[in-house]
Amino acid sequence: MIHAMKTNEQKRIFEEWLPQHRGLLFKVVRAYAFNPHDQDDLFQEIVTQVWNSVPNYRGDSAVTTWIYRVALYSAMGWSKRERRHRENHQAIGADDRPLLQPSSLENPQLDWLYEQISHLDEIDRSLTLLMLDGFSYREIAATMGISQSHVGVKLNRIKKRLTEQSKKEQKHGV
Amino acid sequence: MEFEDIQVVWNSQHDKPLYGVDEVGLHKILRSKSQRFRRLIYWQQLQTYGSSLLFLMLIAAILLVNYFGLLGKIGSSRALAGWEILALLVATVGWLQFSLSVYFGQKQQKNREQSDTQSLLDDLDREIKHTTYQIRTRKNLLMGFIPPYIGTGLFLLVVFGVTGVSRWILIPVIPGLIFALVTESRSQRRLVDREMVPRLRDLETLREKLTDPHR
Repeated sequence: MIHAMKTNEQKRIFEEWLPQHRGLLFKVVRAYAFNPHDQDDLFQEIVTQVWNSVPNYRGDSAVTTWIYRVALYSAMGWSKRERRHRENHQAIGADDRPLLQPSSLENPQLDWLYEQISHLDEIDRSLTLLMLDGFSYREIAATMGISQSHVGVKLNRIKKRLTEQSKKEQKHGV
Repeated sequence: MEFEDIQVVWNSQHDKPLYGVDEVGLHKILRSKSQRFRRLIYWQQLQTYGSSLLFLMLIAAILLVNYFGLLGKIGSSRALAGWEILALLVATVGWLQFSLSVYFGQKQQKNREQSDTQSLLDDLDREIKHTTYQIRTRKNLLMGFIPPYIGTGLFLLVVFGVTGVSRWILIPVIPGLIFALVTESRSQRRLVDREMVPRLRDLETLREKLTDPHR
């Protein structure tokens, strides 16, 4: 039931959910933004969207699924806006944020996987994240607003592409 | 890799933030910026003590010369009148009050800022306290400047009197002193608004970020 939620209640829920699901948010951020500045920007965007959407949560899906949906749609919107912005503005140089340091450097395989995900289009990226995080085809279809059979076709192609790419790179010793 | 292996790679990630704050780098920057800020404050204190010392020495010199009856030898036709000695003593009190209040205020603040450890958060807290104190002391600086400016006015009044310079000269000198007083307090106000308040805001934001449990 949608009702006017008091700010205190909104804040309490937000502060409870954010730490619980921040890992999920980091995954989405990493799949859609590729330098510290953009990742920071996208994270703020998603957090703002989650905050604004808290009063709309109706409880008809798990909180994780709901947050995933908000995060993915925010990321896709952000990604489109950024692309338009970059087409119109010459990049001066990525802000490397000297006061930030990567906190997860030690996993080259994971870096490779994110790189592969970044090569997919925006919808496929979302599908991949949901699949890798163990969502069923039915849940993915509901989250993304497409049919289950379409999800199945797309995910089979993505799985094939990822495994082929990994084998190809292993063959070339990468 | 088969897809199952890719899934294992995916599941191996943790939920730590992608980027953490480089506390060592941040600490270095904080220290360097703090040093610059403290140098500015130190320079202002030096000006306060220097000008106080200069005026107090001049007043002492005039009183001594007068005491030993040597005023005539430096061009004065008469000794200091009673009210002139009193004016010089009032000027001394004005300057002493100003410089001692700055000195003891800073000393007290230094004690308050003392801490046993040198961690980033300790340094940050110290800088927040220090900047807050510097802002607070400058808020009512116009009132604080009044005693030394009155002291300077009285000193000039006596000097003009004993050297035979017409006291009419006080007509431009007094507005000049008032103008200098207002200008000085406005420049301090500008320093507060342009440097100290933004600095305090930055320090507080940084502290919030560092102590944020979700970071």
